[in-house]
Amino acid sequence: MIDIIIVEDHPLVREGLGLALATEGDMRIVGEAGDGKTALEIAAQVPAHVLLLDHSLPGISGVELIRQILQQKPELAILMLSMESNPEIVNQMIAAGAAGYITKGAKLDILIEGIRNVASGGFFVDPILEPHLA
Amino acid sequence: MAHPSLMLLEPAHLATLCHELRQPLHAYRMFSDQLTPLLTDHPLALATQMDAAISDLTEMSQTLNEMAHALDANTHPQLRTVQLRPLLAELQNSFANPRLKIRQSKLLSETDSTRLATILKHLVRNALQHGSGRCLVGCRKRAGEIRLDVIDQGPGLPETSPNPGPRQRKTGAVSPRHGLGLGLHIVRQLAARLELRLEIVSRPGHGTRVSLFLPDTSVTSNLITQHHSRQQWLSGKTIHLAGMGLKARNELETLLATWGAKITSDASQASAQYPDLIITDNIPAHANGKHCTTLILATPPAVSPAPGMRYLPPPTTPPRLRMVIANILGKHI
Repeated sequence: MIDIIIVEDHPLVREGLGLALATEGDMRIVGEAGDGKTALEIAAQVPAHVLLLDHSLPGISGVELIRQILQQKPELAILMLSMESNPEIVNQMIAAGAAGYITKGAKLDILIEGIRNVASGGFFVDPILEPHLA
Repeated sequence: MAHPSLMLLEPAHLATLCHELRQPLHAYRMFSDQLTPLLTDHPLALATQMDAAISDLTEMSQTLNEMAHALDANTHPQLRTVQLRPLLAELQNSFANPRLKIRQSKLLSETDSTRLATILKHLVRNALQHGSGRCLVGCRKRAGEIRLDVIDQGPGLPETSPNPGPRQRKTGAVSPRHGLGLGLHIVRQLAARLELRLEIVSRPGHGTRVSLFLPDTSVTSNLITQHHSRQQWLSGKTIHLAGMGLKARNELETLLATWGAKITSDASQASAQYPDLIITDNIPAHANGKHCTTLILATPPAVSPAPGMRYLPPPTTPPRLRMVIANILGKHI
């Protein structure tokens, strides 16, 4: 079973993700957060394999949040889920320690594949981004 | 059509608005994906229509977002060597339309790949929607440049003024499925930002050819030496290669050396002085991450990863490899 924490400031998107992932037999939502501070608290308290992270949260940059989360939970696989497809930002997030990056326009099966991949130690980038990567 | 007041917004504000607008649209799609399989008959037909309407809205918000980025003087093009092949392949995939024919190319250029992809997307969409329904994309070398053509055999453009603004429409005159009429305007803006020459040849009844002229860097470089070696970003790092066939190892060694890494492949070297990273293509018996991470070029097994092991599933392309190594070593690329 893959335990997942969702960090996303839009409640509707958070709820949609929760519903979509709950239908997968091998996935379970174990925590949710709508801002960086709560994300850090939940990541510290709740055992999980994957943390789905929106890159633009109020009050803290995505890079900073990745670094802080990984400082306290280096084994947690952070999978970015973002509207942003700027390759410079994708590179920054990966260099900061994210194990993968998926755009919010991606189909659900891409997201599922990405979660399974990073949960088992893999690396995953949305195929739509690949032609633009460094 | 775009309301004139939208054009008065600062581009950065417009981009933020579009970003926020796309969030509930994204949520809608996830809810819809859950609901649709439960429906049949008339409710299913209604849900399909609702999905189509939301898709239109999503596409329009994307177009507005691209318009905002095209106009925003604070965002700068990110120039780098671009392989046209994956860009054109992605273009083909994104339309999934048999009426779109794309001639593949191995050429390289120096430009901003995301902005170039946006230009091509709008040109192809225009050609498919407003042309004869068929579109041909191809490119050729010409005097140190690459001429990238998007051709349709439709009725031709109604106007060929040097730089017309967004197409004006009477309210309600055109279905939203025909977009916002901003496509060519965005193309012109982006081409100007990228300093690319744009040529539009259109004759009534004989179709339209839009040509974009890109710098051709294929003649002065090859994939490895130019595309991936602008900086020796792995300088000072030692990488140990283990396993893998001779050909794969040689290719990898060449690439990593181009990035500035010191390569070892003798096991005794690796144990005498621990490398910063081990790369292999099979799961090692012992890798606990105590001294360094092991990157395995394979699909990860469906079990929890052992400490110190990272996987890169195929294909092992240089950009993917670059990203995952940067991730492991914590280097900004």
